[in-house]
Amino acid sequence: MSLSPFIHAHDLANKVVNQGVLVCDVVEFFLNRIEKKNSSLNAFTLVCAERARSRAKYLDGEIARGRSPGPLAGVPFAVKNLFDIQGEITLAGSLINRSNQAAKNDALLIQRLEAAGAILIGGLAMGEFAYDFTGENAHYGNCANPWALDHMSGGSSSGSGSAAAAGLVPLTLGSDTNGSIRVPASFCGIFGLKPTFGRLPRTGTYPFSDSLDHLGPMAKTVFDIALSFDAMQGHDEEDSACVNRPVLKTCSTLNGAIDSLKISRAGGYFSTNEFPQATKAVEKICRALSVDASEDKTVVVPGALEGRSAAYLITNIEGSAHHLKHIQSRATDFDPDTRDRFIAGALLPGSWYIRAQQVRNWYFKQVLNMFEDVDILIAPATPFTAPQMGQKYFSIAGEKQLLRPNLGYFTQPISAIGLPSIVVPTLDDESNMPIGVQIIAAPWREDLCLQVAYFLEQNGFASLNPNTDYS
Amino acid sequence: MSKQKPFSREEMQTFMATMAPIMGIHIQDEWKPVVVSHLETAAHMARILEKVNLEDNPVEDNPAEDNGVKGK
Repeated sequence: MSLSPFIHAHDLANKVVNQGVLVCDVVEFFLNRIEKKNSSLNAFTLVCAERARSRAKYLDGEIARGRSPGPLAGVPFAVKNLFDIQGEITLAGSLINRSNQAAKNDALLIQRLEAAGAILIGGLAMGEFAYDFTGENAHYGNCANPWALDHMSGGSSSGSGSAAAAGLVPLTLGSDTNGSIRVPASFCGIFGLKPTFGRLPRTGTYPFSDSLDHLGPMAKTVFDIALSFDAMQGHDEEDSACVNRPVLKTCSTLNGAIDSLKISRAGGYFSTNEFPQATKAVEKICRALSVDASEDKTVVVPGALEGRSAAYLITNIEGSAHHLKHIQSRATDFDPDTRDRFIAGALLPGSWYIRAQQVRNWYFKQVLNMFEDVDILIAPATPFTAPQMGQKYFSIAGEKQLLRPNLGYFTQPISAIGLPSIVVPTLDDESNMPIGVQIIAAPWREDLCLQVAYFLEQNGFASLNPNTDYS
Repeated sequence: MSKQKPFSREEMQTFMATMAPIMGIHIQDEWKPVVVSHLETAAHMARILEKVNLEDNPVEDNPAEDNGVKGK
């Protein structure tokens, strides 16, 4: 059997269903690939080899009996290690959780992907308790960027970005509270969808900030994103934030004409004047969509700075409240980079939290009004390509800024109010490193995000494959 | 990017020294400068929020069911 590690999920499913490729062989191929490459990348923290083999054998039997396993037949996938995997401890990138009991059930989205024929193959690296944009982890080691091993993969869904980009697995799941799907997608050069808040149930995942946590897929093609997104939708009462809406079938509408869409570049807060790599990336996307990218044609997102500030405080305070017991009793067991932020969050006044929630709602209303005049916004995903690992600061207008909290500068105002956003990869010609651009729509319009992303993919903005000739 | 620091470093150090024992948190000396930096950033964010005029834009306590956002 000859497979490319960069094979797309839907092509793989087609080979399994229509071309006689055995799922058992597919699983062995990717297990072998993980075995060879993971020591360099540190993307997988758990490989469920026996579980995957057992499931593959079952699926091969089903196919032999003429039954279709589903649209993701035989597609291996892996999940950020904050998703519950039955029989495994849900680490959430931490040392502290290692003393927890093993999960009794799979997270609901794992169940739904497997019901569509996919095969869980492992758990993936992440920043501790998802409070991270870098991919660095003091306990389990840094997750490397497959484009340059000494550079950040981005976080906190670091393993999800790295593994999908390096062809260790065709499909991954991540979580995104302030940008944790979109930042690694940008740094690793793949597509990453953060759906509307409340669209996908978070049942069976370890929380960070209940008001802001989202889950979503990461992959090398828009079709694979749509395929998995469609398979994962559906209400679940166990997640109080999950909204009971009809399933939005996006695969069948990917080819929809985008000519009639009002597409604009986001301006104001989203200005890229200080960030030449982000500027070039956004301008490329605008050209491909025939959007006038000049400053006077941009759409200002009203209240973005305030929205970002609200998200910052909500995350800090909710996350710290969740971990307060361990901040008090096991502070030295935290990753130092998250510990200090959690300690600060635990001290902040409740009135700031209430104010942040009020402003967030105010901001949301401003943005809803804005979407009466525009269908799609184009904005940077990250200020620049992946920094070198270990970098703590960067400079803007000559002033030193902390890197870690500001890598989400462009993503945080979008997730603050739950807008759907997909990252489309571009390549920075000078550094030869990827950098992504966000395609953003009004709430519940993931279909529009995906249509525009699909158009861009068909017009040259495909995910590129890094050279993975390392061991 | 945030540039202003609305409170002095000394004020934030005092705030930290007051609140940490009340919250039952022991902060080792070498952690304190970074914690103070995070407090400064949080205070800066809070100041940005203070400037929003919510009076002209009343906020509902319970956000609409179907609007993509649910407050706590």
